[in-house]
Amino acid sequence: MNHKHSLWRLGLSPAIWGIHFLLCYIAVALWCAKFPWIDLQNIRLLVFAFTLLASLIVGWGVVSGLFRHREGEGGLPHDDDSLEDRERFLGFTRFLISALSLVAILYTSYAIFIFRSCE
Amino acid sequence: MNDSLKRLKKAWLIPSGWRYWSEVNNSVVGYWYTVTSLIFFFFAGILALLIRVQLAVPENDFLTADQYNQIFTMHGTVMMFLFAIPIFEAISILLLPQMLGARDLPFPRLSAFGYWCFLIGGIFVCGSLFFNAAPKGGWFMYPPLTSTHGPGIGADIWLLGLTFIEIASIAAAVEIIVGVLKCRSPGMRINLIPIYGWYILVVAIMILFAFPPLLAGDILLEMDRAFNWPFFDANRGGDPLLWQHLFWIFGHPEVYIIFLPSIALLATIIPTFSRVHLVGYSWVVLSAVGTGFLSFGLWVHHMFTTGLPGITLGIFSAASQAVAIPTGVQLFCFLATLLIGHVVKSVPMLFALGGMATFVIGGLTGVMLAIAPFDFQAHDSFFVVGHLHYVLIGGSIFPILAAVYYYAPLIWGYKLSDKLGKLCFWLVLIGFNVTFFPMHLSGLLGMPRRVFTYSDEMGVSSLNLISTIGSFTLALGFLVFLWDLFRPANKKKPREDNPWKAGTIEWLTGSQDQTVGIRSIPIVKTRYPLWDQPHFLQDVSEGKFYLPDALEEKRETLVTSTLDAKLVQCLRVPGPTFITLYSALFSGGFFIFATYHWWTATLISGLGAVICITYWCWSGTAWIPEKEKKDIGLGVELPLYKSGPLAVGWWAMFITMLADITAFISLIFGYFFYWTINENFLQPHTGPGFFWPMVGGILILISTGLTYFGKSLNNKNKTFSFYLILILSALTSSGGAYAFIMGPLVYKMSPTSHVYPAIVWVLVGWTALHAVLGSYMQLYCIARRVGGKMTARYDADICNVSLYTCFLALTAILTALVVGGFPLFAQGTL
Repeated sequence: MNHKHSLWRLGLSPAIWGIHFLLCYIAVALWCAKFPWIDLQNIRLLVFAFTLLASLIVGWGVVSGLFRHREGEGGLPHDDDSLEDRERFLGFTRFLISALSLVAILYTSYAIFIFRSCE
Repeated sequence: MNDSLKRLKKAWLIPSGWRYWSEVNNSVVGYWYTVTSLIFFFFAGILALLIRVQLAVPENDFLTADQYNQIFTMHGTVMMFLFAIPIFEAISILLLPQMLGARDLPFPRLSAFGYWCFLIGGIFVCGSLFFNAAPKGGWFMYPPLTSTHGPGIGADIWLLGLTFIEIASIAAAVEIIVGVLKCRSPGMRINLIPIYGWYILVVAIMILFAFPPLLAGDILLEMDRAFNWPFFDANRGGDPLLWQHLFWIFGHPEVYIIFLPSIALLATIIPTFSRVHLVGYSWVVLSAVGTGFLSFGLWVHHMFTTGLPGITLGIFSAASQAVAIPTGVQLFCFLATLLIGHVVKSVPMLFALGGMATFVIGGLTGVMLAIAPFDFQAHDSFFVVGHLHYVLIGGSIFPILAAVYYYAPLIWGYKLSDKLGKLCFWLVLIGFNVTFFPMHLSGLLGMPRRVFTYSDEMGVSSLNLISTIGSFTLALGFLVFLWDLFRPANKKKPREDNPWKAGTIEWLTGSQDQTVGIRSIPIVKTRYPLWDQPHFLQDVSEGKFYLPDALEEKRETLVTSTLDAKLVQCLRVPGPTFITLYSALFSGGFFIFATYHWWTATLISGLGAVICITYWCWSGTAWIPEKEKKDIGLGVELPLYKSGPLAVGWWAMFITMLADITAFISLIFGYFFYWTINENFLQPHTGPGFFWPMVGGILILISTGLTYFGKSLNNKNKTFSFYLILILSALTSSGGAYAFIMGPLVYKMSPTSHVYPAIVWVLVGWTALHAVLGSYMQLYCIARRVGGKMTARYDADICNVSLYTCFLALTAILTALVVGGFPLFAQGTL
């Protein structure tokens, strides 16, 4: 097992959520305040592109975390005093946090596909 | 007593007499912090009773409208800023070393400084009430009520007093983050740390990103008030809504900054009384981290009625619903732990369960309020008051009461009374619900918050009277609690070391000598060592692990690696000193005198603070040890000195600068916010031009490069070249500051004329101030080398200053691009 895990990786998916969230917020804020003549479909296309990219990165976190969690023999709760269990724990936690980030990303985008105006 | 214990006790001896107040040990400072926070809590509680007396009957004249405004503002302010946040810092500073199996946290003097800032700032803010000078704009200080329409010094006291207190919070965050990541017992891998450690780590990181936007807002509002810079004046391009954005980017995460540490206490208490490990440890970690980051995407749900675009409301409404997921996950984990365990009835468990139930009710009304159309109806009504008290009292006060009953044997050596505890619990639970449940109804009937009286025709008189009766019942519960804490019979109780039979490591210290904390620093192999590691208590008590001695009679603790807690360093931590108190007094003077516009006194105080803090750094940091390595027991030798990313000081600088850059980015947010709302915001012809900002940015970039070059020269022991390069670096940095200031100066930009020049001045001023501070630090490094306190081998100072200059360079480049480049870019000329 590769033991070069880092705590920073746990923050990757939430950071992607944060960037996606800000981009969505800025896109609609600018659309409403500065560029109202742009067609909503173009804004939605832009948000769709952000969302697809963000979902792919976060989805990779979900899958890789899950694989890391399942590596080797140890099962949950990953509380053994071993490098392997530490890795499995970080993998499982990454899986969970990435899954939550994915849900939150989809929630945010969903709102932009329902609302139609700046009113 | 054997010799090793004698030496250990001598090193950790708490000074007696008046010198007691020079102590910096975290357990002592944590105790002061906790007691002070509780005093502020009771003060704010009395204010709440005054509010309830005023509202007990319609058309009451017990308080005037002006007194009522001051009292409800101070109630909210004190509860939030002087109790709810500090109490978590207090409990962490008090208990975290024991929970991590450390002898102390890495920066005890920083904790002491934070405490004194908190105390001085708290007394200043609370004292204003007794001089009829308290703030009266509500605890979130919305302009223009607090700017154009807010005469007097109340708002200034709020802004400057709380800015000062926020320094204490950021100091505590630095201490906690480095403590959890670097000062755990050896062997305590990241999957084995106490769940409290995870929560508190998340919360401390949240502070780094939540408090700086408020600091930025404070700067803008104070500039508006003191110098008439029109940040919130719509006539000159400003906008009061920017304050709401900055305040709530802080304010919403703050709710979780209050809630998560308290829930962390429940996550510690529940397994003890269930007699099983916490179910779903990883899921609870997910909850803590997930809640932490999602909480930053909710701020606009406090602004649903401000006329923001519907599509924006949709985004924030969705995020507000999403945060219920991680919040729910942790509560289900707690319930699962209770279900699979054999629950032992106790007073802490009563408070824990009462808190969970109360919090769930508050959480559900929170989900209701997150739905924008419902919020339009309930906004600024008593429904919101009811909701927030269910969340904060259920999510914070109940768990804290549970923790006081739970940890009493650890802190004082005896349990509090079961009988009085139960009486207190029922009075608090019933009193709380009788007070706050009717508020939902009175709110739905149309009673607005923050209005000093109401007419009988509104139909809310009976509900208000019930609330008032409930509030006195609640107060009676707290009186019972106070009596339980202070009654003389406590002194006669026999000592009980671990009466709850807990499995977590902090219960070791109950049986140890309180002054030295843990007798020897153990090797931890499980999440509940007292349950799962055989002979653990005995081995620790007999000094069979690390650092059972203090041969040189110096205070020491261990530094370990982040993931696997492998031994890295034996860290010498500083002992008692008054310099932290003096530093806090002068820093406090700076903010307090500025409130009254006594500029000479402000300047003198600021200078005093700089001198004190410099002396503190000079005499109390980066000590060169008398030997390279030290035997810490069990045949292990560890280095006594580390620099760069391996040193705790480097991480403290990194964390502090993260907070600093967040404040700066909040100001940049302000710049672009004004650009979006103003048709003609950018006025390139009025300055600051392209040339001067770019020169400033380039000079500061060069200064950063020179600092790194100087660092390598120092390592090569080329002393003269090092001095030369660092002097050049300091000059370049100051030159950068000069260039930034020249931009708006040569264009004669008047900050009072319009918000554009005002925000440009703030950005260049911020950058210039940081550049001058960079020069000061570079000169400090030269002085350290001259004074023999820094050498080619022992180079922590220059490593930390190099790191600072990286953040400085980032600040300078962003400022140059925004104030110099963006106006041209937006007009298509770049």
